[in-house]
Amino acid sequence: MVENIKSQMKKGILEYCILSIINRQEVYTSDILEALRQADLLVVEGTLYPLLSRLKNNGLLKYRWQESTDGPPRKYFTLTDEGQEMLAALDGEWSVISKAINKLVKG
Amino acid sequence: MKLTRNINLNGVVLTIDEDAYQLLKDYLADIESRLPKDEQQDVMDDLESRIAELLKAALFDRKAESVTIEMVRSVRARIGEPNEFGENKRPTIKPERISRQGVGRVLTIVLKAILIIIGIQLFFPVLAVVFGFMAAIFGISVGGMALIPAFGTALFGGSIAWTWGLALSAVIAVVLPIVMLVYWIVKWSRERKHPSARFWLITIFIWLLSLCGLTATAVKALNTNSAAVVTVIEAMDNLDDVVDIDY
Repeated sequence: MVENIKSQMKKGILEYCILSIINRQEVYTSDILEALRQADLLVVEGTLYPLLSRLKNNGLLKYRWQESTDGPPRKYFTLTDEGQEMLAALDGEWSVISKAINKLVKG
Repeated sequence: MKLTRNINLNGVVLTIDEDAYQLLKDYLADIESRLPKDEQQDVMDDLESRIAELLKAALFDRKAESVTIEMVRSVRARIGEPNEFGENKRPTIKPERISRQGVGRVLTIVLKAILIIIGIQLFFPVLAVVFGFMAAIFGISVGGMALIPAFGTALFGGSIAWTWGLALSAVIAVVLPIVMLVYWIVKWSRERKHPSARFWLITIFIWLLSLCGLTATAVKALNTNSAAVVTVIEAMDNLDDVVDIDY
């Protein structure tokens, strides 16, 4: 029960977290996975790929191919202008939500 | 000694054990079936790349030359179960309603085998024989129905139960194969499907019961009044002449 709720909470903010990570610099999928893992926000790796595809299809992300010495070419992601606008909106929303939750929890 | 295969995971060629290949193939197919069409190609390419990356790292760490089933299981645990990717859209096989074990299971297999033989391989020949037979006795039955009250008195000493038992058996024996055929034709023309094994089982069982009913009433009639049976057959011969049924 607790694990399920924790998992749902993480999934709910995953898109916001991905946009934030990509906003820092151009990143490869493994970089996103690593950043999420370090923040203990990753449930399983598989959840990332459909989200990336959806964000790209919605015009929030774009990628370019870069050759790799270890294998096939890799996708390096950046935010589009629309993605940056969305991130700014989500930053504001997150600030409101976190304040509201803190107030609620701490009384 | 193990059988291996060479696979290409989004451009990365790997040697993989046969059992590991099956597990990986099923895993990827399951995930793909859960993804929306417009995301399938993108997500599967990314996923294959990531899996190839993890498997290559595992091969390097263990100084192995082919991917083992344990490596695939480990990758699967890391990537996540297919249900993380959405609901399963593949058609599922309906679970058996009845748990079949032991003797019941053997009986089910035997019955299914018989039904498959009758239902598929011998369906048309059997149907032809049954309908030929039914057409031949149809006149007897129709003619016989008209004489039911007389049969009751003549054959069973006026027993209503035996009389209507005979009538019901005769009707089912004649009508059921026709119903089976019509149902089969309708189902095939609408759904391009054959009736289920359960349908054949139930209808054939009822039809056999009706034949048993006919046999039982015949035996009863012979025991009650064998002379009357001869009379009835003669009466039906006469009726046949009257209604001009050719059998």
